[in-house]
Amino acid sequence: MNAIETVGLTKKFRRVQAVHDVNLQVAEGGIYALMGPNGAGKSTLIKMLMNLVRPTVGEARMLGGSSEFLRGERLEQIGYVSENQKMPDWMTVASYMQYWRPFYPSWNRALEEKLTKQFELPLKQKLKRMSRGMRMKASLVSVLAYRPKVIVLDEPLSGLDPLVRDQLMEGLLGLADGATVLFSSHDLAEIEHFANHVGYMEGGRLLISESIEHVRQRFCKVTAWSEAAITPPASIPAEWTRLKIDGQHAHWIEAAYDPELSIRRAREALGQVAVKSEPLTLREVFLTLAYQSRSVSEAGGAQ
Amino acid sequence: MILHILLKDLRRQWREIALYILVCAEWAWQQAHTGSWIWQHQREMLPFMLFGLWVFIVVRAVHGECLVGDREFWATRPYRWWQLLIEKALLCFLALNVPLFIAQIYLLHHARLPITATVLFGLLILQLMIAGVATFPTAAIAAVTQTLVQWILTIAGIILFAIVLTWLPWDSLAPTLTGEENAAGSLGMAIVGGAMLFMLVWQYARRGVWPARAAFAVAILAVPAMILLARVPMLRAAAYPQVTSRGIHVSIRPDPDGTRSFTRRDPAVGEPSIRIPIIAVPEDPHTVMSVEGVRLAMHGDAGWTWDSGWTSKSFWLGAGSGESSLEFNMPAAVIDQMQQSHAQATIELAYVAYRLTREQKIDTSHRYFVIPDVGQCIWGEGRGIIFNSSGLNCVAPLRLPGILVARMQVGESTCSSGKNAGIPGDRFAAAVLFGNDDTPVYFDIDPVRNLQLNFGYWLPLVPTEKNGYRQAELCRGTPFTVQTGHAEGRMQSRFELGAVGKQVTPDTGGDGGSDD
Repeated sequence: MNAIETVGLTKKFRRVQAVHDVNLQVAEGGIYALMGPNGAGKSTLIKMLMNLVRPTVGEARMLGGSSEFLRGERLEQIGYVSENQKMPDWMTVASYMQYWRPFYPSWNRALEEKLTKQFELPLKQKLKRMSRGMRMKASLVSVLAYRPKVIVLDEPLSGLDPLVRDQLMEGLLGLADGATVLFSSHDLAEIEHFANHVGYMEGGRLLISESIEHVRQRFCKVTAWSEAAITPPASIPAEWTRLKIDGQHAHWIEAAYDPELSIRRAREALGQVAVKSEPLTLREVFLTLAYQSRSVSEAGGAQ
Repeated sequence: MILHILLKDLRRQWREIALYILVCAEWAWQQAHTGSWIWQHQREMLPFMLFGLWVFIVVRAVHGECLVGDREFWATRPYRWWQLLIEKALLCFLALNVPLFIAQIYLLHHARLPITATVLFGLLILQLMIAGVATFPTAAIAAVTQTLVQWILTIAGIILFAIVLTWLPWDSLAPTLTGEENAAGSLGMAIVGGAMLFMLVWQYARRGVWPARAAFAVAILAVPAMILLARVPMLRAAAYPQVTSRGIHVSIRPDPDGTRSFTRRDPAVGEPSIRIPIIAVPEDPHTVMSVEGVRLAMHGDAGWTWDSGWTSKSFWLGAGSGESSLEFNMPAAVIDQMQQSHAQATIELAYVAYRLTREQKIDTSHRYFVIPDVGQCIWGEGRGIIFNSSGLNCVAPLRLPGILVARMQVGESTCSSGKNAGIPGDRFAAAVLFGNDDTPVYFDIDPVRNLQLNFGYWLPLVPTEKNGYRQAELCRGTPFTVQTGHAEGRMQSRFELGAVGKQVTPDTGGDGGSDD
């Protein structure tokens, strides 16, 4: 069963299409990283999931219920932390925790104290006098302490120093046992080691949404060579991007790599060539997707 | 949970609440000691400060869990919307109404008015009215704004809209009477109140700002719509249902010797006008008419007709009201026709009918004395008044009766010998005072209603040794009777005045007419 799901989710702000026809599923217990550059529509998508923004078309669902009615009691099982969220700055860390306790029947006081110590949060300090990293930690503690079934984090790590970032993610993943986690980021280094599923958004569209393992298998950098000079193919296979031909060598990135099928496809397009492949890092995958997406939109624009 | 959120908000807003309580206490003290002119300036400022703090606290309370925007810390937490709404209402009531309630009890106590269960109930109603006028609209606008600056800009926009409305040529439309304005006003209040209630409930329940802002636009546009509605003739018929006269007959004042004209034509002053002297003949001494509008229709023997249309007038008719004159602008051609032929005049009055209770005799021999069911009076000085030689200064809790008729038997004066000598024993001085019984309590943060029974014009004249006249004096112990009454409703009645005409005389501004 999916803990998070969207169907044809679209959001338009006047003439700007922030999110376009997004179909996303996050299975229960999954850790899903929503990637994409700034302005890709990640935050808008998350806000629609959290019922902070109303979709123009489509539906978002959390824990089996429509996000349109996500309020009150239903929020006892969902935690949300965002880099942009306002906080009651006049409160101290202690009063912030004390304020939220009665809202959640499942609040675990011992866990709260443990996390507060682990994150070295100064209890008597007001939130407005704390650094961004410390505020994010306080916010995260106030979410983890009630052990929500779904945790949604919108750019929780952006701009934080690597130490705080690792502390936060380790704290989160160590405690989010069995919880579904969806977090957005524009920095690949933040997520590569934590997520088991990934989605990539650009220009409001969700370009891929699958397991990291599958992405790694699917995207390959392929090199072909022959004794004679390679001539450009009459038509480039749809699975190829960034094809470069350099005399006897050709390089491209294949989006649907299959050891047998890819060799056959290369020979059909380029003649009798030898082929070798090497996996891409996620960073290279997303760069490829961004490149592909921009080429398509530029081509569309030119038309 | 409501209490938990309330405590959080009290902690957050304690500074402004403490300041408000201080200002409230200062206002109550100043208000109770209004005789002191030294504090005049501060006293005038304090209600504004109170109101400013009130608004500030309400706006901050609502913005504490801001209902606009997608970055609010609370919007993704398990708040129950109705609990939050109740909490905000409770916060405003505890922080704003309760200190004011205590200040009001102090003011009533200081004015020597007893704090009865009825008074306490009235004070609670007053708190609801103040909350309805000050807290409710402030909160509704705060519910569709994100910051205090946005709220202030919205209010500035409303003020600008009101200024533009006043510039519109409303004078070119038909004039309105109080009853129509009240009826349209009530409808307008219902629309504005409904729209604001929707804004609040919708925002707390759904946080969908555009439907709430649309409701706000409806509330704003209801104001000019109601100004127009007040001019719809159907509303006049609804505001003043036609009835046969209630215990009072109105006729042209008898003019047996023909020495007084009852018409006037003075082109030098401006538009020609006609002045009709009337007299009210009370058939029921317990009825008083407070006239709000008059309409005169003429039907000439030669077949011509003329109708003044409804014009706003304010005077009262009843036992002891004496003579009155009604003046209407009239085209010169009609006046010319009146000089040539007789015309039948009909007058229509739009009025509030009051029913008086039986007379109560009041013992005025003490410095302070009580008028039952009204309040308390004091001889000589009063609250805010150093001395009043021709009347009485009284105070009443929360409201005044719809009408109060007070009579002093000046002829039976108990003043030191000779002061009112020469006044026949049956002569009395009267004071008539109209209150406002449209609402259960008068809308004012000060619950002490000042009631000045001024007998000035009504006091008989006493000859002086220097061949002059002075007004009779009122003294402790002078027999004093009071009748109170309540409004029975607004209505209109038609009176046939009979034949007028061929009596139009030019009025050059001298003693051509008689104004009472």
